Amino acid sequence: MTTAEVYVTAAFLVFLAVVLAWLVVYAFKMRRLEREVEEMAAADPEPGQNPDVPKVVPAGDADANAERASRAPEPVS
Amino acid sequence: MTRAMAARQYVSDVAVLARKDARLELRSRDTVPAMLLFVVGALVVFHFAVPADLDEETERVVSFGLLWVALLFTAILGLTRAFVAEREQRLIDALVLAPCDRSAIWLAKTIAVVAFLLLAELIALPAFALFFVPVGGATIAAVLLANIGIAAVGTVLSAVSAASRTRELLLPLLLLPLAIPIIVGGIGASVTDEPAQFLAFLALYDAVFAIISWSTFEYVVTE
Amino acid sequence: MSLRNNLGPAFALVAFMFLIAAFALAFYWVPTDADQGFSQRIFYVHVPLALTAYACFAWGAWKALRLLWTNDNKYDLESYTAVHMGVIFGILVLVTGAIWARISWGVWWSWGERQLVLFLVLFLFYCAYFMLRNSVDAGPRQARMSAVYALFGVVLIPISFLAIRLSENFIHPVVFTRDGPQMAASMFFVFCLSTVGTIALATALYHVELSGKRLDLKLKQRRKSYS
Repeated sequence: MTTAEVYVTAAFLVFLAVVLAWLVVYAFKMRRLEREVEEMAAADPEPGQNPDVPKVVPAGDADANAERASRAPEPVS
Repeated sequence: MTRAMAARQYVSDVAVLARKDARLELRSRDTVPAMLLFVVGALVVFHFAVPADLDEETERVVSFGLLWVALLFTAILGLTRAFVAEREQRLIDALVLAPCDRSAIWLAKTIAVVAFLLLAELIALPAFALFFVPVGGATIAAVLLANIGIAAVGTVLSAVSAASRTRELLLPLLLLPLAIPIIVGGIGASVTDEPAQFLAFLALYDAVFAIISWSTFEYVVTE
Repeated sequence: MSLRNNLGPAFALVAFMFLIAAFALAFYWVPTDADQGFSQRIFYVHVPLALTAYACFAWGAWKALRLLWTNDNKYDLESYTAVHMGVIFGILVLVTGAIWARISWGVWWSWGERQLVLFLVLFLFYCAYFMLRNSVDAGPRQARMSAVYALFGVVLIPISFLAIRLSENFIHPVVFTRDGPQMAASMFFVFCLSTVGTIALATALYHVELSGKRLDLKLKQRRKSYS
């Protein structure tokens, strides 16, 4: 392989490497989020009982979640 | 309230606020003396940073570079103090509750910062001319224009950093990338044979960033 | 099932197809540039990355403007994620640019390369953006300040570019220049493929990351409402 080919390949591989690194970071983050959701579900198995708590919606519906998040009143701490 | 009345009210708000800053500074005498001492001290330090055996042209170019760096850091010094008094005495809440347009606060503070910079430069430029090389008209014009740009952007960022956890530490980080075009314009005007385009560029920077600072300031100070 | 839910996967698919095609063509089909030789092919990854980074910063600024306009906090995460994407792609621009400089001129960095210097300034700026977010507690205030700073950033892009161009008059003589490629139609075609693919990739990553951030926020809010 000529020098030029090495460097060109390196450039494309760096691109791939960064995207894969992002993927790794995200995989870990998703695992943490899933664990937290399970913890939360275990702590409060029947979300219907507490009127202050917004209804649990499948996580995939990101748009509805965002709407609800922005409209829900700030919890009083 | 008619347009003319609102405009007059705005101008008088700005005047009142600017006068407040001037009076505070006259009484406490914190900021301007510190800026003066800093800029002269920086120039002396820079003398030792410039190698001795340079030809005249290179020395001139390097010296002006150091002048602009010194001015920038002096401005940062002054700006870190810009909202400290307000924050410490909770004046900023009072100011924000006052029935004036929030952007008037920005304009008044910017005018005050420009005034402080001018006072510091009144000493700094002659000192530079004494220690290094003489200062021409283009440099002075560039300094005047740069003052406006730095003050405009710096006031907004100073309010931002005053409200942050890290306070003064944040301001230089936020400001330096935005200050790079000012440095380029300033040095270009000081050093090259065609200062006009650099002065025009500084004027453009001032106009653009003054407008955006003026319109976004209120979002920075409201809770 | 709304269209919104499918955006992430849809863009990921588009990115996959376009980038595979673009990279394969860039390596095996496209004619070699007469002047620069094989190393010119980095152009097919470097410039699309730059365009994508600009697009991300612009998108972040647009969402920031929407936030200030409507005072709706949902735009905060969108703006933040867009800026984050912009920085990731910006780092890629700097690295691929350095590789290209190395193979073209033997140095890892050239102040004469305007695009690279501009991205360095932007990188500094947007790193400060993250420092800003970190030093203000989460909430509407953090959202608003980040939005204001994001707007300053997008204004800085053309001004910085102008400054860098002006500075070449007196700072570093432009020793290394690269003529804009006299692009054959095939080269332009692959370039377009790569650009569309890279933007699609950024969009896909953006949507995935945004969902993750939104989920995180909701969990934090639930946790706060329990305690």
